[in-house]
Amino acid sequence: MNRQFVLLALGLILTIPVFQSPIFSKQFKPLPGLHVVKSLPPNMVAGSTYEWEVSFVNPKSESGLMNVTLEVAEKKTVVGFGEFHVEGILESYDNPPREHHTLTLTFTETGGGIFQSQALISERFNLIIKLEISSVPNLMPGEYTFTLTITVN
Amino acid sequence: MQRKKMLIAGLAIALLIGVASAALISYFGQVKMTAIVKQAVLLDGKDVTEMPTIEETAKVAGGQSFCRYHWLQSQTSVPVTVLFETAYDPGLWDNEITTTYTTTITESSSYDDYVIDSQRLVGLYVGLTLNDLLAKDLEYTVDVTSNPKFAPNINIWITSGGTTYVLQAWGKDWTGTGPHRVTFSDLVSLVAGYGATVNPSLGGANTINGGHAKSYGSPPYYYYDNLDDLKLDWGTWKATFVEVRAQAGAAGGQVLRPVEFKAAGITIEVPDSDTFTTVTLQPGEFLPFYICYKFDLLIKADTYYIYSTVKPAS
Repeated sequence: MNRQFVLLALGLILTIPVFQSPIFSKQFKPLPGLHVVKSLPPNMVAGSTYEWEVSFVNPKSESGLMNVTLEVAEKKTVVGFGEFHVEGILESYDNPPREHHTLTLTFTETGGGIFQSQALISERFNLIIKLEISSVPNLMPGEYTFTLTITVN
Repeated sequence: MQRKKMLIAGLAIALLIGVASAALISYFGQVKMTAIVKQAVLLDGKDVTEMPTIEETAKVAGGQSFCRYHWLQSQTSVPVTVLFETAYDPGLWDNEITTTYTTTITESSSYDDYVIDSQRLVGLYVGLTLNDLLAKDLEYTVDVTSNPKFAPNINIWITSGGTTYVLQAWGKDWTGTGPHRVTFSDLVSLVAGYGATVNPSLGGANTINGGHAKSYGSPPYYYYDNLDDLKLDWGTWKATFVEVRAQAGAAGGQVLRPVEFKAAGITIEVPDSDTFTTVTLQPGEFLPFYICYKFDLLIKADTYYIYSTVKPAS
């Protein structure tokens, strides 16, 4: 009997590390319903502000921590600190009644052209992230890639 | 009994595994987009990647000055302050060269003789709008002092929305030593696209601006039959400032000397109040301006490199 309890305890203890292993915890599930509502224009001008909107469905019924990362990169030049500025709003809708919630997303530039924001999300239905991306007027012209990564834990 | 306990224990473990795994699942999504970002302010229609340096040369004597025409175009939706900087090589001891940036007309007496190579231009930057010119009785005189068998042309260059049109006094007899004089009425014959080689042979049936002008060739050159049609079309161009240039013929080798510019009631001078070192461009604003260089009378004879930089201040 003691042996069975030892095995049971051992199994419980092993459960957490097993599921924190790369095979499980790093294998993200795709964010359901992720799509672009409003695209960035293919041609931009330095100094101007552009909007980018993406929508997805909160996959969890309980509260979750949402991480949003925007990375701006250019092929030939290094994007410097302060060359871009990002503001964001998180909009969400309940199902039903369709109550509308808005939350300001504060982005911090953690590296040249890398912006991160975190928010707790509790609503279960549609979520829309609205970004306003602006650049300095003396931004080097070039081909810039904007990568928006969203994770919900 | 023992087996039943084992089953319960197994189920409990499976349940815990399920709960634990559900709590650890992360959801991930990524959207990527590529955009071409253009420079906020263009200098002469080009950005820094197209035009690291504009190189201009001039031969002047001490005491003389000259100006060069350029333009800025804001492409952005916010006001942009641009900064003008100048550097000299070799360095100056006592401000022997003064560089100013101005939006207004330069002095006409600042030109000396220029040796004109093929298709090179001598400009007189009169700083007048098209409407001004329309109302004035323009006279521009150019002297040909050498190689007279190659006739110069005298044109008005119109910069409008990033495109330059050439209004040329076609068909006048410019051969022989001058001075040659052109009036506004002479300048009605041909409007050509920027950089176009003037081609006098007419043809084609395409028209522009309500049929006032006929086009031919590639790129198209626009031919006006009469002054009245040209005047009508001027209103459709958003030109602000114009430039009068003498242009050498294809063979080159001439020495041209602008002799005189007359337009009724116009005084050509450089007001100090219109000079600047910074200027704020409003969204979409087109700003023609001149970089003027004034050389001290006692300047040491040398080759001077003057670097002017125009860049957003922030």
